[in-house]
Amino acid sequence: MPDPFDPYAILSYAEKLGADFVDVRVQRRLYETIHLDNGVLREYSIDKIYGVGVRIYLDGYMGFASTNKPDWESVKKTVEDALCAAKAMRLTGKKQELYKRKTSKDSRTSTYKVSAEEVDPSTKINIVVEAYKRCRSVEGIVSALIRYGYEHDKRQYVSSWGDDVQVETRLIGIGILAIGKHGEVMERVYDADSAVAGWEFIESRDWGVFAEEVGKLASEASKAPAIKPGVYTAILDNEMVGLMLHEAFGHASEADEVEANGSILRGRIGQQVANPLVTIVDDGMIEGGFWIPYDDEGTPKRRVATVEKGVLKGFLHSLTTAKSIGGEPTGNARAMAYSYPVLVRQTNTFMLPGDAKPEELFEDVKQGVYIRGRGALGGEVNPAMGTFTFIAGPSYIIENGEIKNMVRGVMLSGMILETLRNVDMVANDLKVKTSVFGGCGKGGQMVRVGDGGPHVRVSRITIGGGR
Amino acid sequence: MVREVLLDLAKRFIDKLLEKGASEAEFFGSWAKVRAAEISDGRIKGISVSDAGKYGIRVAVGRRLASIGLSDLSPDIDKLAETLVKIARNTPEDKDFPGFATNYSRGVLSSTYDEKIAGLEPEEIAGLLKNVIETAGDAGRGAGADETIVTQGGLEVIDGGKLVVNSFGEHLYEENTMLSTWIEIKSRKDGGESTFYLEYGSRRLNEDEILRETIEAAKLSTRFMGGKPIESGKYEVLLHPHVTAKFLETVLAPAFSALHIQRGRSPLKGKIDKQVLSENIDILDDPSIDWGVGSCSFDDEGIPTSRKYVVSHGVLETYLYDHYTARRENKYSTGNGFRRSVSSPPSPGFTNMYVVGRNTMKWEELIGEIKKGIIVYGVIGYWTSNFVNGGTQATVTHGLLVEDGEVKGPIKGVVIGGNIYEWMGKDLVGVGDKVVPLGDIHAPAMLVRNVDVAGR
Repeated sequence: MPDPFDPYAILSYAEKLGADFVDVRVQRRLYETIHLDNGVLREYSIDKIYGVGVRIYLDGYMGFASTNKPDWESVKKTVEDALCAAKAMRLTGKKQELYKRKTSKDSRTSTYKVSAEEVDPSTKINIVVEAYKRCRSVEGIVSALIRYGYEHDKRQYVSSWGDDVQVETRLIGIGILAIGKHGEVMERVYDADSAVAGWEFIESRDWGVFAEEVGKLASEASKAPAIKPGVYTAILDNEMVGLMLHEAFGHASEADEVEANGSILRGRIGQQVANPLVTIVDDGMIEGGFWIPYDDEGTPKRRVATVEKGVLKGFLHSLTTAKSIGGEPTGNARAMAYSYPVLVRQTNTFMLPGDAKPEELFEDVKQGVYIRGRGALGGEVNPAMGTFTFIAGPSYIIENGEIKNMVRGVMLSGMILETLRNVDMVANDLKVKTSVFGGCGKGGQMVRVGDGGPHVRVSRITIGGGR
Repeated sequence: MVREVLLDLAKRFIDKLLEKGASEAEFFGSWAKVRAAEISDGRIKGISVSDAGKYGIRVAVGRRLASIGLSDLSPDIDKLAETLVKIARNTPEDKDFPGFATNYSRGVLSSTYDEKIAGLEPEEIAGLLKNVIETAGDAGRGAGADETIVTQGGLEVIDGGKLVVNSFGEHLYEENTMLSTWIEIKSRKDGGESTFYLEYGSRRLNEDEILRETIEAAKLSTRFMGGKPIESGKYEVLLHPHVTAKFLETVLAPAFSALHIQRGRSPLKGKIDKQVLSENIDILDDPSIDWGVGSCSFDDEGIPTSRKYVVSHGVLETYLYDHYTARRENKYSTGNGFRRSVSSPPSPGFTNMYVVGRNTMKWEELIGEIKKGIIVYGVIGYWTSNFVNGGTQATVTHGLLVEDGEVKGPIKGVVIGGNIYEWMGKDLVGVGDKVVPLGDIHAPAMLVRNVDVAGR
């Protein structure tokens, strides 16, 4: 029986129906989860998806349709639906053109040694159970959840231009949520460690130690006071810098936001938007980050500096935004799955390291906060209003250059065009992280990302939070 | 029909699993025909269509469990059943596993399926969205803006349903429709600009209601130009109903889950019959709201739903149970078992969370009560609020400063923080008279004092 999701058959059927341009994305994905809740195996599940998405341009109008029904009649219907959607745009829609780039033909697989699919379930469960025991052995821990996650994603992109790109990625990791209690006060700390790798990553680490560390942090945090709201000098560790850049700058540099008139960075190319110490990069293949050699339009993911020495140099692009607002495709058109159209998304966002040693950043801080990423929950931005926010893990007060007591529930808030100007020192210690348990959400789609940077000092930032 | 395909798959899977040594099995399927249109810079950028079914199967070998989630409608049942039973045999026993839920039936019935949504063609969706864009533009200019556009947004309609089947020969299904739209409206005036974000969802198509909400949002988009942070300190804060809903969803709703109670991570543990919120507050789990986003006649494990007080006069009446957590306490499920994904085990959660004040005030009266405070219309990062301890926080993107009952001007970029049990307890000043839905949370405006504000 011929493969009903054969992208070439789909391509020729769409072209026969009169499409000007067609691209086809076939995806097969497996996600394995183990979830141990207070010592009870709550979930051992395997999720599989397999389907195809078809994008059609007709007279400049875009229609998209997808299906997971693996029979040729359903696939044909999907192509017809995409065409019908493009036609429905004629009265009200916006015409778009695609940037014509060089044809891509490639097949890439992320590095791994041992496929986690081949590892016995009981071996995986044992690791999770051991991590749980170690976390609960910490005094003050009243509840703990341990998660194992493994994703194996295979995507093929084929287009009318002759592109044929296949990318296969494996991402694996373990996450710990520990809840500490002191008196009547409870506090939670979540941390995870993931890598683009196979089972060897799990074997390379002592997860019991990791779980114990998270437990200790949660236990200590339950005893810590909330921070006094106000404006502080902040030193952000590697994880927090990544989170801040992703929110404070990354989203506003996505060209679909700019094109829509939804970004405060519109019209600012060539302008100073950050301190000259700041260079921000989006790179699909940095160590520690997620691995994206090509985007979901078959464009090679180039390393792009959106900000160089404080000056806005460009935006992150898809084929359509590169054409409409000017620029070259950067390989940032991404979709959560075959069933979604692409959006402009970040890959791995990070700041390039500077010259200072991390400890030098603390030296002349009289009153400040050392903002830690461990246990951080993430952030959010409103790129049009120019406001962003992110929440740190348990952090520490700095007094006269010294790290003092812990504070919890630390939420930072800033303005896109202000905060990066207030960066006044950048350390030399670059680190980038990704996660198999989360990612970045936009327009109802979640994609894997990475972020990071060196330790960075921000002279003024608003900090508050719950209690 | 995908539903028939799923029902057939369920029976074949369950038979095969029992043959391979499973003691029992549970099948949960969902299907959705989705049509969506996307806006960029005041124009429709693309239309997408998808039609898919997905399903999850949970299997027990004694008290050992495993599950699989699939979207493949012609799977290799023999091989998958074998893998699933093998994984289950390898998992540790859950001594509390009471078996999968049985005695499927329907509880309250409400309107959840709108033929008009089911029949919408792509052209009609584009037309509706065009109307929204034009209405926003007119309303913004009517409110004094030089220009008002919808920068980004979308509209999605779903015709779908869910199906639950067990190895005891029971099955139930329910069909539903959904329309959601989100738009960001930007207004410009005298060189300044500001935005407002509208989120709307309903199980029926009511164009008048969508346009009314659009007009309201477009007017608001003109009100926040030149917003700045204010001095740090303690303020009174008036939360717009949508903002109340966002906080409740994150920091309060999960605390009622019997799973979190039993696992020791909810501050409501041991508080049944105790005063946990102000006497002015009632909270209901209400699956009977017509066209409510969370309305349904049975939960994701086939148990009938029911309308009930969870908090009455501020006193905690009950937790929310699924079958597993209920049996652990020798109780019956309250019909609140919902799944994160088709393959996940159910967890207790609200159908529609309906929060209402016993003594209420009009919006203008609430503003009149404020001596020094802010009205919060828009927040980001609210979802980092912490249900484990009630810690509540967000950064304000759209706020108005109020002094002695008078609106002074826009503010943004400040963090509001506190604790939900204080905000809805000793620090609650007043509750609005209108209960407004946002997704499956229905909430009023709330005026709260002693809120920590981190600003300049």
